[in-house]
Amino acid sequence: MYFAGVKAVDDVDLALDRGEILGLIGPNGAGKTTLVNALSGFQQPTAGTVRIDGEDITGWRPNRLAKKGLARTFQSVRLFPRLSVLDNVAAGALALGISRRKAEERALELLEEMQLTALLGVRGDSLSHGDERRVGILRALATRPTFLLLDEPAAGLNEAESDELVEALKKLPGEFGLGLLVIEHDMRLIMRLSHRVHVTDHGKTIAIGTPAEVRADPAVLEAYLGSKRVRSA
Amino acid sequence: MIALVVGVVVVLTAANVLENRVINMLIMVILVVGLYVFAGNSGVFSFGQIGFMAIGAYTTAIVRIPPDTKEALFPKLPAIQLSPLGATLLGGAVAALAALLVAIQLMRLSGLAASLGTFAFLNIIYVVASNWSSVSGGSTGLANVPQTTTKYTGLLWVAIAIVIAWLFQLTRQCLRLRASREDEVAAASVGIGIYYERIVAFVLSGFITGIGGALFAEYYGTFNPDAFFVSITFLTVAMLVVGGRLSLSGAVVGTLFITAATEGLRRVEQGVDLGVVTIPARPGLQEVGVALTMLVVLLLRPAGITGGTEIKLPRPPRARVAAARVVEEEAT
Repeated sequence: MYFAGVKAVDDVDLALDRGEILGLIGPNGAGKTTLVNALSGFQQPTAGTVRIDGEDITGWRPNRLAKKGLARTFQSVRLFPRLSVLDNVAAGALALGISRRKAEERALELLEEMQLTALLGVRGDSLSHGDERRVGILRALATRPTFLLLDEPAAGLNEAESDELVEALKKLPGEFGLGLLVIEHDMRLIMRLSHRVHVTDHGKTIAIGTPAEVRADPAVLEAYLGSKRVRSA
Repeated sequence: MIALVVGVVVVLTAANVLENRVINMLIMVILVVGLYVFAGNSGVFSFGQIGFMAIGAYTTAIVRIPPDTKEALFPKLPAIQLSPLGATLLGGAVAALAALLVAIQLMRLSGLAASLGTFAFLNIIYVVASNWSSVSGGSTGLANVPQTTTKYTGLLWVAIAIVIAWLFQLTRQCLRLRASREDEVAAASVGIGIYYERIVAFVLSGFITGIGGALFAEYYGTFNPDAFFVSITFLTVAMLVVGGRLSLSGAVVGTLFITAATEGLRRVEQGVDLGVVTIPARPGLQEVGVALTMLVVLLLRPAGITGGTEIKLPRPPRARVAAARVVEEEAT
């Protein structure tokens, strides 16, 4: 995967199972978002393949992938600014090919679950940053995805909000039977959330394993924390 | 809502002097609501909808002009005559069909390219109408269409146009279209393509605008291609922008507002004698006034008078249910 002439993602091999939370971590500029874009159809990979249940979906357009069960969020959230929270989430539910009324009911259920019903009439551009992120995740969840890609879900959240988000995200795989890929540069969040962690640097995989295994990996410590921290540790 | 009620009362009680202004306004409301259905919901401005007004007007005129007049003035036209209602509906239907053909091609384009495409379409219609003498009467146009549009039929069609636009807003296509208007990338991430949804809105818009054209033909009786070109396109665009292009209420409010403003300017334009001072005639004041109003709104209140929100109508049942649930939860 090349981005503006720079190789952004190179030889990264990812496998995500249903019911699993896979954390993908790397320093800023490690090619994380490029990878999400390639997986969700927003950028075409120059090499390599993406498969869901064995079916090659490389190069599919995003709207087709969404109907296939692959949903994503954005680092910058990208809610529909002048639509209500209810319409934002209902627009996601329409991917299921259901009626507007059914979509609104589904949106309402999801909002109830996240205790956001008080916001249903509020416009997308009038939300606090934390609520904005939660609604963004609900919009993606409303498509009933088999795989959900979260691009920096905790960006801009304070510690308390971030902890709350971790608790909410942990429940998703069990509750919705989906595989969750979380892209983050926040090591603490990834370690607490993920079943498995995939560490990349300069577009290459440098370690894969459980949070405990990865935490102890010298290559990870060097790339992510810097050699100075390794020596002092 | 209040504005609507006042509007209806004014329409029904208007003195005869004002009647032609009122009917003209009702036709403008239909045209602007038609423009809104596409431009407001999709976020893509169309400068070509008046082309569908022309198609509606010519179609209606062709099937309404009495056969003996046709024989004398327009011998190539078919010697048939439909009822006023049949002719109006046919005008809308032919405009809708034309909109479908245009949309299949143009809706592949995005944003500005699509807008420019619609403008090119308007020009094609204008040139064809000006030169296809055997059917359109060329640049002199068509005449002797029976003048059957009254303030009542105008009002009835305004109500129908508003109901169609409002019902469309409740559909899944409209929500998808609005989502794509807000953020095309985010819309794609939840499975929303834009092509099909835009076609639906464009065809519906073409139908409503075609009805507006039909009523226009059946009101003025005589018209030529200049009636369907840049100045009315600009006027409808200004009305929608001033009222607020993101809401149906905006389309209606903008039309009422600009009509009232131009009516005032029209009187000043002709020169006013106030007894003490006489304001001399200022030709062109109306057009400049509309353009300045639009500029002021764009600069100071880009979302228009209504700011993109709807004037509150009785809430549909499911919204009430949702609101009740919230109240319940807060109480527990």
